[in-house]
Amino acid sequence: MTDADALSVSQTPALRKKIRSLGGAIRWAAVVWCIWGLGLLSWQWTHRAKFDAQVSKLYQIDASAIPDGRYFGAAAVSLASWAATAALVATVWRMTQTFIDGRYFTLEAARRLRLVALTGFAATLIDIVARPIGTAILSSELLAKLPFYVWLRPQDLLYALICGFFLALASIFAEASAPNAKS
Amino acid sequence: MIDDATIETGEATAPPLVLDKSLRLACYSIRAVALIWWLWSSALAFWIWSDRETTVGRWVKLYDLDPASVSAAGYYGSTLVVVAIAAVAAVMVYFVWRLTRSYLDGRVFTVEAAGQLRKVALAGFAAVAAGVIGRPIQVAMISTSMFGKLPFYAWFGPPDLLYLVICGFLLALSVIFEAAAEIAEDNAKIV
Repeated sequence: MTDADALSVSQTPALRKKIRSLGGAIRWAAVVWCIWGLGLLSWQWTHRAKFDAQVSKLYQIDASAIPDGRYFGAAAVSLASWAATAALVATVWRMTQTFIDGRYFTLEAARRLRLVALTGFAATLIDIVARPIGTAILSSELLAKLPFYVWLRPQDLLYALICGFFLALASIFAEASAPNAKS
Repeated sequence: MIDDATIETGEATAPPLVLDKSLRLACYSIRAVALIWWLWSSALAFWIWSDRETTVGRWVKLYDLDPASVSAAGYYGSTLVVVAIAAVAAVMVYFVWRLTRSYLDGRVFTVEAAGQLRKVALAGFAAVAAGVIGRPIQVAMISTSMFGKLPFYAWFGPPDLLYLVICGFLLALSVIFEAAAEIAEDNAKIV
């Protein structure tokens, strides 16, 4: 793709209109997802009696014997892992702003897409690491009793795959935008 | 990252691109990981559903389900829904393979590749819809008594919304790539 092509793309009114509405929907859906996910997690952690009952039923552990300090420590780890998720949403917000402004094949857009991918990788990794740490803080007995697929889930691989895909697309965007950056 | 390839096609289309080593490796990795993800998630789901006693036992503990109320037909019908959801996910993986094949063949800024990226996004939307629609069908087949006992987020949860965001993002990228490909092809015709 030449720089003239890239410039023409950014100046297509029908495309800009389409991307504006798609970009707006994506960024707000990402914000709703983050608030909803964090809110739901917080709500679950604040219902200790329900947690105790479920853990006791599923794993035959007296969860009510877990000290409050450990319980809230595990909750803190679980909620802290969402900080990376919030950072991811911030990068998505910035990325979509670039597209809404009609800056598609620019180095800035490529860099922002790469940042979305890298932050996504970090959020996935932090989530994977936080799960056993949080459970270990709660109870070593629970740590031993949870099934293996709790620690590394197929969804984790799917998230990594999507981030890898975005990283590859970011490289393609960077290459397409390189002539424009030079001119 | 991408080297221009001067491949003569004899057609008035944008010149194909040859991906450099790292992007080719990325494409092959994406294909392999997509396949591993599908095999892993499907195998895990089938492994869980194949152990009827443990699976029903979990519902008994969590939702006070009467195990006698779960018929064999209902349980295996519900397992079929799992197979159907996995089949929709397989379609998405297939489109990822087709898209990466186009990229590996140098068809990056083409209407065809943009269409394939759109198909990945649409197949993703279909996979999310299959999960969202499939869950109440599964519960209805197992025991309607569970309907009132499952939490609201069991029907549509934050992960479903995340997948929709990702598919929407891919759709937006496909629209941009399609416009770029159309312009590049038009300009190539003029030249």
